[in-house]
Amino acid sequence: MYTASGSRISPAAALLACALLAACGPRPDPAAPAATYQPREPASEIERVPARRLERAAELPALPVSVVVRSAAGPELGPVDRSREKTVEEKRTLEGAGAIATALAAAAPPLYAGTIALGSLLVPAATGLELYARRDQNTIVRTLQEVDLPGQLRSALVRRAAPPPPDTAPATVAITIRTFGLAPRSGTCPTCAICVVADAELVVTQDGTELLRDPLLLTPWRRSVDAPPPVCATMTEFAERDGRLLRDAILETAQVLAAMTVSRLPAVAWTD
Amino acid sequence: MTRSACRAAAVALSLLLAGCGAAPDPVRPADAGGPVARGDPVARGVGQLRRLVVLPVAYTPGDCEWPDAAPRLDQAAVLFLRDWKGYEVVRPPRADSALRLARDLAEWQRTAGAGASPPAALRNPLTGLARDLAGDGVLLIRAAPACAGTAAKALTAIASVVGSKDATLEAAAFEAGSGAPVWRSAIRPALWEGAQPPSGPSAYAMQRAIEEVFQPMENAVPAVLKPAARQKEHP
Repeated sequence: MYTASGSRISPAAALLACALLAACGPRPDPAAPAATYQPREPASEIERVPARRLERAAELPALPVSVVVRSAAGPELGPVDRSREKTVEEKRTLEGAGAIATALAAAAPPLYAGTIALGSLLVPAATGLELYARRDQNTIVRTLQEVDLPGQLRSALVRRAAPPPPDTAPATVAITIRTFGLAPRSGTCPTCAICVVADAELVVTQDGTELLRDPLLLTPWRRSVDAPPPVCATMTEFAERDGRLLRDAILETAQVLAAMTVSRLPAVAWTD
Repeated sequence: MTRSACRAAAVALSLLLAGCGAAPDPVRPADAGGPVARGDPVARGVGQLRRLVVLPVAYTPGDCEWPDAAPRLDQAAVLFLRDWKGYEVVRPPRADSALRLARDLAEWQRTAGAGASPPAALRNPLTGLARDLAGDGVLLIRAAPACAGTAAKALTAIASVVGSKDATLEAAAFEAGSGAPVWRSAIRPALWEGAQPPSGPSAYAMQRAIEEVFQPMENAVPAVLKPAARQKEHP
């Protein structure tokens, strides 16, 4: 009968064990000279869109306002940032993805029903990864439907707008959310980052006169100067913990849009 | 060899693989407590540190001949943190002393346990630097690419498949006031295997590795939600 003595372990196994130990790798020598370099500021690839402000003359009182928030469409999943579709190949990929998504929508209506337009994000589902991706997609779709971005934005602005004095016709601050949803940061793949994006328009009117019209852009490659980077993560990360990251990102987007609006309208009577 | 001997060998091999420089778990950002900035609906950890003092990359070349790895990593990190995570990046004015601090911190961190705070000898210059530059935190990047021979590379690949975390790229953020670690990420970039530096027109492998190590980092609290929250007197 064999015993588990060292002499009975084959030389190949011993060699493998030694090689594995070697593969753990020699620790880098801390005394080795480090490369020195002069740090430089890298140029940004993000297009920054200027923001306008509605100023108020010092002698005039702050403008009381009413708030209106509209949504042009339901949340979207897809490439909203057309500026990145530079190459024919990219366009073909996106168009192909759209076609695939349409076919899937017809095949699986419960998942894709509703107001959500489909785009290239559903590529993973078309490439044999349905089982892997379907649960995440369900969570994402449900979260996008549940969290009311226009409602959150309106609440945030109404909270900050000073109540107009009696017998005063307030100006109107109207925000139209033209696009809202998820879009790929660069490429489309199961593990590629996708971002929460919003494209809105701010219009201020008083007595039928337009005082200001300005975009509020929070898209990956084209942003307003006062907009932060979008929250980007993988589909799985957005779906984790019942879509908590996505939920937080949408709520943050509402607060950011409200704060951008307030900071662009110093002429308006805000509560603080 | 008997079955029991085979089992013993398999267990020994598994232990060896598991023990290959397993990195401590990353420090989790604080997940409890309410938001700090007004209107911020998200409870943040490292994201509260908007203004980060980025130390020079602590690069240990080892066997690799990657002459411009450190500046390329530095550029990619600053670009990603600024444009995609929303952090305000500031640089130490004296690169030599900052590099010394980065290397000392990296060396300490290599053996420190998860969540351990740096010793006073490192903590004091770290907090002093952050204070001088009005930073909310200090960021360290350590790179130690492994360029081994073909056989060792294959075994390293096996080790990575079975879950060994022998990281070759790490990043860590320390809070400015206390010097305590608040975030850490460690990876072994798949494209960093080979005796030659990752190349390509856009230094793809460097950029990809940086994005991979920083992707788990939450976004900084948006400036528009935290206006002038930490206005300090600059020296």
